[in-house]
Amino acid sequence: MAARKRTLLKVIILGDSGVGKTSLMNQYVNKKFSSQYKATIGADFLTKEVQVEDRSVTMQIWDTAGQERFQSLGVAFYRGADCCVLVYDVNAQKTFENLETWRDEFLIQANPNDPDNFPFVVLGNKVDFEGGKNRQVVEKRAKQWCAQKGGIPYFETSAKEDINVDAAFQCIAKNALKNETEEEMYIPDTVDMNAQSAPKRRTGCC
Amino acid sequence: MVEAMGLEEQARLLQEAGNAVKRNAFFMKKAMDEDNLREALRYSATLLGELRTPTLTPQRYYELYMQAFNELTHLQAFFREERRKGRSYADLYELVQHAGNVLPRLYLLCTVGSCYIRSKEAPAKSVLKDLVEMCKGVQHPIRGLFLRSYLCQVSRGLLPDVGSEFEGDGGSISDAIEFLLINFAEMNKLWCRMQHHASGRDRDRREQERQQLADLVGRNLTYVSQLDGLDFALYQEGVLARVMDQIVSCKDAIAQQYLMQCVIQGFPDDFHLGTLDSLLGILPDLQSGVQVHVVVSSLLDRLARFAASDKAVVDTFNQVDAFGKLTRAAAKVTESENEVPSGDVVAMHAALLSFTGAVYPDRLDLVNKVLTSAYQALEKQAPIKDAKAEKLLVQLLSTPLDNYDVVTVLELANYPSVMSLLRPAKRKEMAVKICQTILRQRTLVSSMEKVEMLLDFISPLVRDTEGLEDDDEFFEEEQNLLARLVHQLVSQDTDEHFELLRAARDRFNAGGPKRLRHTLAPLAFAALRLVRTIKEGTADSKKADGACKTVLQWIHGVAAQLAEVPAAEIALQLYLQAAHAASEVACLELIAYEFFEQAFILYEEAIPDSKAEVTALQSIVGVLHRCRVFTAESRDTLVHKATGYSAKLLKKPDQCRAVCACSHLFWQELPAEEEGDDVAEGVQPPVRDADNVMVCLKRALKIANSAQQQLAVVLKGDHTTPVMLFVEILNHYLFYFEQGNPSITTSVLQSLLELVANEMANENCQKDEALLAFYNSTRNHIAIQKDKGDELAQKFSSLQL
Ligand SMILES: Nc1nc2c(ncn2[C@@H]2O[C@H](COP(=O)(O)OP(=O)(O)O)[C@@H](O)[C@H]2O)c(=O)[nH]1
Ligand SMILES: [Mg+2]
Repeated sequence: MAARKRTLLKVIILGDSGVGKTSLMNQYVNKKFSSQYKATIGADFLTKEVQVEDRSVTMQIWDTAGQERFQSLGVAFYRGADCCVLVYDVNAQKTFENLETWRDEFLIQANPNDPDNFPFVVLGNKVDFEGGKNRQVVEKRAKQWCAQKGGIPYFETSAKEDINVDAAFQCIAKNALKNETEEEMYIPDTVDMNAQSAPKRRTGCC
Repeated sequence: MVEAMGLEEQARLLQEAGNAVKRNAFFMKKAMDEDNLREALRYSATLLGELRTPTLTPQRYYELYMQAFNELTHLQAFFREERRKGRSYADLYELVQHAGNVLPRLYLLCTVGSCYIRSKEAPAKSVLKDLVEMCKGVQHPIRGLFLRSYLCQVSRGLLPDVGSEFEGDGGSISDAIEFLLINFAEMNKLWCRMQHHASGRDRDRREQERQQLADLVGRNLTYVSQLDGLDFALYQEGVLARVMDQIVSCKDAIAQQYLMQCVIQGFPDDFHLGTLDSLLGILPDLQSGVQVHVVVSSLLDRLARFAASDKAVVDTFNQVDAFGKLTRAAAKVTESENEVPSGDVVAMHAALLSFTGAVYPDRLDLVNKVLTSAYQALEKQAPIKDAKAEKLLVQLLSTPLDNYDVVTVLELANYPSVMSLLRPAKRKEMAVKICQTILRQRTLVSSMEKVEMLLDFISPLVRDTEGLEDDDEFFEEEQNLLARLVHQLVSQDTDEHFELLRAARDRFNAGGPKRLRHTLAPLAFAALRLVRTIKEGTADSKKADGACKTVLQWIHGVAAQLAEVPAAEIALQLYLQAAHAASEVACLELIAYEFFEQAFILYEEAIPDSKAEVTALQSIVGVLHRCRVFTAESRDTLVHKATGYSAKLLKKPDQCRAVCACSHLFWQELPAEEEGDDVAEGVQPPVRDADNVMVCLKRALKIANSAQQQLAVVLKGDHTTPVMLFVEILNHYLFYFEQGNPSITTSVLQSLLELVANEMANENCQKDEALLAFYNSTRNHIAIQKDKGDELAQKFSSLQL
């Protein structure tokens, strides 16, 4: 059987709570923004069909809680990610400093084949906030960090004003697709397929 | 039920189950490629059967679930393909119900169901209702919880939310809410039921597993809060009431604790402000194991941040009396029958206080209310011994210090009572904080009442406290703080200012000698500054003199007390500074004289060693030189004494230097030009006694000479100190020469120059770098003076180097 052409890209959005992960995803997928703050509990995804270089793919975008107390089940969903988006709030220094931890944590938990070349994208969000007069992280500093980490693409975004959101996700999709590894193919371990193929019966009830 | 087993065993089981999923997925996809629906369904059901595993912990089970989930996305695509080929979803919906086992059957049903809704061949609300009901077929907690989160995951985006394409025929927002809340309630029941399955031995492990599963239940609330159509009215009527109902009725502490957090964090602030009564109202109905203070604290934190982010909402806070409600809720928590640990009580009040600060930055009365409430809640547990509680209480007391004027905070009726809850060591820590804050904010403490109150607060620093060892490593540092604090006790009114210092002294007296050594001197120095203020600020000179006298007499007493401590060296310095002030500021000769006499007595009787003597004498001579109030007679007596001391110093070099210094006692500076004739009353004309200067300098030369001879005997002449003395004396000569002192003629100077040059030729001197440098710079000075081309240069011109 030929390997199925991959059409699903898995993207994980990480960052401190409140930086705008949920808002960015909602702006990109639903073209909506809410200024109310509602903490995200647990992790779940939205999907979006995108065209990347003449290919139509489905992006599965995972939004995460960003605070430990609402991440009780662990991070099994990191596995198989094609791209990881690191978000911080340009008006909150600490959220930028924590990017390092988010990145490390992701690499440890997701355990990608080639960690050095795994695609990340960094988003500095809320650039619209108070006209930028409370900015704590300058663009240069963020770009410097991205360069140090092997040239991570960097975007300055606003989920509220829909600034750079499409461009960022287009880049995310492109990098995710580049990362595309042949889907791990299962090959039955006996030649006698029929013998293996009979579903085992289980006893007991649910 | 999950049995206790090691991590490795769990990993192995997961691997096995995962392999089975992969194997069946392989055949499922093969069947799809062959367009064999029956086989595809059969393999997918088998694949899903792996989720019936009874052995995995929630986190491992989640990994397996994720694997299965990924495979099911292929199945969704396949169903859509089938639909295109003409098979209806109604058909498929029927067909999958033939799967033998209930768990795989329901997963398949949810999968088809989501396609069914998306196709709009059936109204969303009916399919959703059907599915959420059908899922009741699985009552095993872990399996049921994951199945239901699968249902939500696949139906997300398919709900008949406002503005959604599924609204209308598919239903309305209330159907969406209904679906999510039923699912929420069912999941919560499954989750709580887990607890009852556990025997005593398994309890801890079971609790841990439950904690891990919490987010699956809480997630439903996130889905609800993210509905576009959820406005406040719907939330209040349709959501909160039912969620609260579920929370109370489940009677499970873990669930209640967690779900309260979810509601508080998951829904927006303005909703909370509108529903404070309901939120706070159910607190008393929660199980005894629930840490209500944590719930209240997180609500407070959240609302505080809301207020800080947008000042405009403060009105809303007022309209709903948020402060009153939250304070009462906090008080109620601490009144409850089960004793709340002191640390938690303090933590909650700390949250309440920072809430108050954020919402009402100008309302000190509210700060006081919070303190009152804290005091009442903790009174019975005083003194607070729990380490965490102590630390938090110190923080609680420090917060208002940082945000408001210190003295105003200290005046709050309940600040001292809360402070009294602390053990002495922590009270002292607070005292240090208070001092630091006053110094940092440069707050002036300017009335008697305030000073008394402040000194009460910081009494652990001021005097011994029962139960407190104070000879610790921080003692000096603390006393220095106190010393610096003295300078913040200031009043515009000089009489009052003086009263403040007197009051402080009375308090400091209780601190005993070890503290007085640090605290008395700053009082006296502050008073010295006050003398200047009085003199400069009082028009009536008689009145000024009277007031200055009083203060100086008081300083006299302080210095005498210091000498008794004993701290003779500081006392002596104080007498001298006081003498200087009496002379130069107040022009009170008798008092200045008295201060000198006291300084001399101390010099004679109490200076401990020869080194200290040298320093003390330097100060005496320095101050005396600058004092201009003395008439010739008293001046003679004082100068005579000082020169007498010089001759009695132990070491010859010290004697020599002291005598040189004394020469200046006969040569005071002329008043500065601008002062002109306008000298203050009582100031005597400067002493310019050339003969006596010469007497001193000659004596210095003699001493240097004899030092040289003495050392030549002892050290065989390789010592350069006497030559250094000669160079120093030469410099004094030069000074007087430049000053036009008639005793120092060119020829006198020339012969000294030659003498020194001779000495310098000595081999040892040439090796002494410091000496050489000093000598050369002296010669340089002469050379420069020669070159200047002014009047002085003329005098210098005949000097030969
Ligand atoms: N001004 C501004 N606010 C934003 C932006 N993105 C998010 N927010 C707000 O920041 C808060 C947190 O956003 P959210 O998306 O929930 O953050 P998350 O915790 O990372 O998912 C919400 O109140 C949003 O309205 C932005 O680009 N600009
Ligand atoms: Mg979020």
